[in-house]
Amino acid sequence: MIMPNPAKLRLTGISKSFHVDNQIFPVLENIALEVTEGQFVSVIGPSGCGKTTLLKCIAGLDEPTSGTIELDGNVIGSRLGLIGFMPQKDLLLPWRTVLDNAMLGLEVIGRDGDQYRQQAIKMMDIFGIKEFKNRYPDALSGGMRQRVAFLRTLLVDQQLFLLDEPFGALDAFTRGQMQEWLLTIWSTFKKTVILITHDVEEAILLSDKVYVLSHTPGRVILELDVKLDRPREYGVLTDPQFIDFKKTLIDALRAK
Amino acid sequence: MVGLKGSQIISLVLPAVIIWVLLIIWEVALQAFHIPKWLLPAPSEILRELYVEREMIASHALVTLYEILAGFSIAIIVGVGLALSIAYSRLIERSLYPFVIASQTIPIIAIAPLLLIWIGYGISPKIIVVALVAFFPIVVNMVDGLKNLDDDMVSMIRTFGASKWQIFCKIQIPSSIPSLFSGIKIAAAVSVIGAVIGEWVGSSQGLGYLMTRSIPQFETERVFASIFILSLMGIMLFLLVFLAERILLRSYYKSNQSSNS
Repeated sequence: MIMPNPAKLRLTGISKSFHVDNQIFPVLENIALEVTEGQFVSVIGPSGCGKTTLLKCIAGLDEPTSGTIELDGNVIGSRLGLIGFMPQKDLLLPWRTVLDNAMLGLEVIGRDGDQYRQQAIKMMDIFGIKEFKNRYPDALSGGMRQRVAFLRTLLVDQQLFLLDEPFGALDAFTRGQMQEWLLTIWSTFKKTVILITHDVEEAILLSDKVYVLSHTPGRVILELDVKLDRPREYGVLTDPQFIDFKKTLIDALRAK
Repeated sequence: MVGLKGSQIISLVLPAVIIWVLLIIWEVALQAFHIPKWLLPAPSEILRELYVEREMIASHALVTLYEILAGFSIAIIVGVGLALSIAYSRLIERSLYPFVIASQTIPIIAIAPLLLIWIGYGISPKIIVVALVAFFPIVVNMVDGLKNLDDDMVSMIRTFGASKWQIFCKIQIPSSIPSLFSGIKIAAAVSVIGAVIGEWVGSSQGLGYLMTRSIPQFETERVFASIFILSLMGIMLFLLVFLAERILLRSYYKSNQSSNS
């Protein structure tokens, strides 16, 4: 009997509600989501639809009220440490140099030897931040700080990467640059990624698949395969197919 | 000095000008109203006293300085140790923190004579008094700093699989250092007071002793000379901490400035 390849991540019937003053606020309702190895998946939805809660549940920082989270077909007790999580804010530690910030994750798992530092410096070169390695984070622009935060997550080489609106705080121009940069990085390292965003173009540009969530409580109202050729470039934004996808997503978001 | 801004020059010059003006008014007023030396000595008389009795005053000042530095150092070591254990373990917090606070509700002026009875007339009860008044601001400030941590930073490091100990060492301790320094600065100021109280209740040397001996004999200029040296010590200690903070926390302050702008 041939078993189908289990998905890298599969969410089934995920619901989450919070109790505040004896009242129950449902945040997520019956979410089903599947990501295969090497896939780039985006979750898009209006603000306050529980996107960040969803990521925190996947990362193991929070637990869903009901439903199962499978990693490679297994339900795992504690997912902390297995899944890379890149929060909205870069959260660089101001008392550490850029290199030491990038090394933080590796230090936690006990890989802070010299060969790992050398490897980190090599990666900083690819990320375009090597010249800042001995500077403190305050000397860096928002885009550069995000790159350091990316590297910090990427160096640990976890099985799956969750990105929570990583470009939300950047200005439009820097955001465009960072999206292009992420496309290159992703095609080089072929990681499995879930990106949370409220930017429709960003979702289509980067993803193989887009999930659209409804207003609170968040439900999946659309699952869209983005069949655009890779490698993609920023120019794809004016492609007629791209505009079709954009229309479908915007309609879904408007319909509630 | 290159790079000094106008506001910095004012903040250096202004206090100096105010002090000089006050000293001149003091000096002139005393002579104008014929106020006797034993009631209020003129700045020039205090200065004369400091010069004439320099050896005697210096020998007492060294004893007090030793008490302050020893007590202050003990306060930093004990204070940081207590703060770390209180912030790390809820059990230690529940069992020790009430005693830390209770230790400050008992007036130090009541404890100091007891220490004389228990430990004796020497220098150690004074060091204990200094440590006792100085450790408290260090503990309270550092515990606040250790507990007031950025939840997002903790979430971030937990996704790498960090243990409670790793969170403590890599996030909590470094982010508490600015609060620790606020505590140490307060401790620097109160440790001078502690040393004087310790000597006041019973001693045979030190500036506090010199003051208690000079007051009954109406040697007021000697009291003022002692006060002058004591406040000088307090200011120097404070400046020392301030400089250490500036050097050690350069990166913290730079990032604070950039986030404010």
